[in-house]
Amino acid sequence: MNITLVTEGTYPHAYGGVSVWCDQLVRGMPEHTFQVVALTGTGAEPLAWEMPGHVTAESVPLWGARPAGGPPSGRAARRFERAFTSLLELILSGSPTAGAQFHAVLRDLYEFGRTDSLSAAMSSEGPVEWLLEAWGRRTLPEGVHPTVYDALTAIALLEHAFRPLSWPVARADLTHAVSNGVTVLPALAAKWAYGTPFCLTEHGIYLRERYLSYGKGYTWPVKALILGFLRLLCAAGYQAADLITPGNRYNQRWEVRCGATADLIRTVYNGVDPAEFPEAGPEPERLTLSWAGRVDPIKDLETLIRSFALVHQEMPEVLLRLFGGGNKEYREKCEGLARDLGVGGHVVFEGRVEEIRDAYVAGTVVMLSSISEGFPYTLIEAMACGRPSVATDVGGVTEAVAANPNSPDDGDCGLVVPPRDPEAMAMAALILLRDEDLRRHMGMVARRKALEFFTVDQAVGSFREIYQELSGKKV
Amino acid sequence: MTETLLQAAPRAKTRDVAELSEKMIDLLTGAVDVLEVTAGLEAEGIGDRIAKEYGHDDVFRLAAFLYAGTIRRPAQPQAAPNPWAGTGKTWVRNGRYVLRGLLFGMPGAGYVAVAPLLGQRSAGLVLTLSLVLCWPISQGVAALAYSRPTMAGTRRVLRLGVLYGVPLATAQSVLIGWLLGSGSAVIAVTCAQSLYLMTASAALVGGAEVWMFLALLPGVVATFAGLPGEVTLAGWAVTGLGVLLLALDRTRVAKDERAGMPMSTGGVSWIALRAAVPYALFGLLAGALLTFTIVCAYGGYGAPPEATSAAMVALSVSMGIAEWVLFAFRTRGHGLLQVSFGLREFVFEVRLALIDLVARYLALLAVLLGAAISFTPPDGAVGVFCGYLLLGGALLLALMLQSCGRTKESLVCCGCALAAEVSVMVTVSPDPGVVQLSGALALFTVLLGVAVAVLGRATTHQ
Repeated sequence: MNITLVTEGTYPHAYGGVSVWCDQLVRGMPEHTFQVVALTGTGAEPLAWEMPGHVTAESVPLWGARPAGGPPSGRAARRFERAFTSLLELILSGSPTAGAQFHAVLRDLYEFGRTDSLSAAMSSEGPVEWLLEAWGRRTLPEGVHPTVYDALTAIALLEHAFRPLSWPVARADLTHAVSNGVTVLPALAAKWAYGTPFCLTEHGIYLRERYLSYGKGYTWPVKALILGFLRLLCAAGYQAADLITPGNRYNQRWEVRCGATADLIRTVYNGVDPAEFPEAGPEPERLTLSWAGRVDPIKDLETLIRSFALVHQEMPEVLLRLFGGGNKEYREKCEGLARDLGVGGHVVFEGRVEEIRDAYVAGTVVMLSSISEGFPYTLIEAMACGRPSVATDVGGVTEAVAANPNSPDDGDCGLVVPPRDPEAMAMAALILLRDEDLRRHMGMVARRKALEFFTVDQAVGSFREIYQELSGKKV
Repeated sequence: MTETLLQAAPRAKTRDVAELSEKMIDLLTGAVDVLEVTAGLEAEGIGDRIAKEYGHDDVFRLAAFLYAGTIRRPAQPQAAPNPWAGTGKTWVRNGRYVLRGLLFGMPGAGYVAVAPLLGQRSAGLVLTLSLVLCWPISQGVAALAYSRPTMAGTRRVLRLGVLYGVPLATAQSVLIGWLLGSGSAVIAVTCAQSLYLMTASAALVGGAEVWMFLALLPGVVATFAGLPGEVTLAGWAVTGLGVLLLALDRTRVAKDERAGMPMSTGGVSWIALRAAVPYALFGLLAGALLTFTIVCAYGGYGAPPEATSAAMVALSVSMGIAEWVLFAFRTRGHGLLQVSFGLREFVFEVRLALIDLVARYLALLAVLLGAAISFTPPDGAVGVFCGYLLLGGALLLALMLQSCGRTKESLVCCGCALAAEVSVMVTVSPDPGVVQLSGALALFTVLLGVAVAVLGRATTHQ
């Protein structure tokens, strides 16, 4: 079977959870041929992953030099104007019933892009003028007066976002988009061109992440336009997908609210390779809370450090060890916080480690303090190693540590606390630190559940079945 | 256990929505829709479970309630930073343009110094042709250097430009001299000119203006102080050596900057190389348009008025002003985008800025030309004055188009003008001065029309 795997900013050019997942997926199915369509920044990004022989990749740069071609004229120009002004009206209307019309406009623009340069058309003066006129016809919030600069910025963002729509997709048996948003554009194009079915996997929630990233740095009119577009695009992605496979059940809330049909959603959990994460063995000699991941504000290490300071008041012998590289400024801020709280000598930033398993081995209890997660590898890896955990109630965390449905009497595999709540996190950590029997029991049931539900073989096996099921479903 | 722990957290059982609304006021007043509020709440750790403590079934409903209860009043945005506005004190920035103008003009004194060595009739032609052929190399290298994403990359390309450009420019100087039967003195002077052009270009792009000025002093002072010929030549030798050392110093890539940089190519791809070609071609066309009457003279069309050399120096000095105009226009264009609420308003204002800046440049160039030509015999001076004023204006407009990424327009216009001038000379053979003046007038008029149309677009100023 030939599968087009569409990624954005991840495999095979970057590291991270989603890239690990892609690598596991393609390596797990050597019987299929994978053509990775990687949406990248400039197209000059080096490969971060070595790809096996049955996998090829091509880069679709969103931000590189504009694709070739001149602006349209005559009938083509009028056709573009009709489609583009409709697009702007639909975005600005914010109407919840705009979905079907948006799908039609997107298809018009796709058809236009087959004969003319969509990028050149969008980079001409017309779209800027039409957007300023469309803004002028609407009542905007108090104090909002869009400028020509706003219009130029918004149209440029749209032009870049639209580039994957005109990318010539190869005929395949299935398109697998590894997130919503611009990643579904090649999937839609393949569907329109060849009737190729498509599967949409979401680890996080694309739209939610864009709301957070566009929330800062853009003026209100630009933000409203681009987020309005992405909201409609994500809805179109959910509606056109033949199957939606989120990495956790928690994601379904957003997906259904944004237009997905509940019957077409099937959760497929991430998995770890049990051979890479054998049982951690004896606990470290000194009581230790360990954390592993990318040092970044989204991991809310401040709450972790605050909670540790509370733990320290009760049990001064405990150590907090943090494993992983990342944002240097944020690390310094966290180190400063630890010093201010008087626990600077007990909080150790260990940096990157060769084997992430060492981070779990080093902890009596493994901590996760994130304010946003999909289905975190850190947690299921710690579970596979047989370490108990304290984690925040985000994404699929509760699903991961909930009691094994096959042996509910064994209880939960870890403790879950509200995010941004140092007291609750400290309380949970103290419960585990003070009770060796509980730790041993939780570690054991965690490992058993991970091996039963969260292995690579299961994740890959699920997709093997899904591919078979969808490939016979040509439209 | 999970449930117990979550509820056992030390906090009130119900939470105050008004308090939350106040805490999240920036998010609420600036949100584009309810989903943005939902995303913002979740990012603060407020999920369905906590939403229930606020009395709502889930976080989506809590967000809808908060959104409905506030008025949209986004914070006033700060103006986007203007990438064209320079940093530092205004007088330093403007002084730099004046200094660069002087640096463009000062080497003209070198021709006075070497005049006694250039007895042959063909000497001027050899020097001019060599000069015109050096420009595309130095312009192309400069464009390539500016296109590098890092300063180390820029310096490496400049160094490669010196390493390969100097031998290339020297070889073509020797070849031209040999073809036209020049003596060794003429060929040596031509080679020195090539060496200077290539190294000075690297030093200037490397930002060594003040040092360049100091390096030029020995040659210029010796020339105008009326010192003996040998001493003057020695002065210019010091200048040449100084500029060469400056170029080598400003193009050095430190060891720690070399990581990942292919030193043999400076990381330049074929695409980047192709992108620099229009700038090189423009250098060639500009050189040919400026030296048109000088080259014609050697084709048997009569010597150009003596004012021509003086006009060339004045025009070179005015390039400093031209650089100021380019930046001023881009700065104003970017600023206008942010204060214009309609496209028509922007187009009107930006065209006005264009006309205003071109007029200022022409006025300053007229003063420079007038001053320079006043020292030369009056024969044909008015024609030279008008011709070089229009040529200066046309080259400024072409550079403005180029700086906005419109290289094709300026190349086509300059190429057509040169082709027309050459064909008129070949077919009708009138006075070259008249042909150059007419060509400059037509080129200026057409480029002004193109610039008003193209530079008046908002998308040009992106």
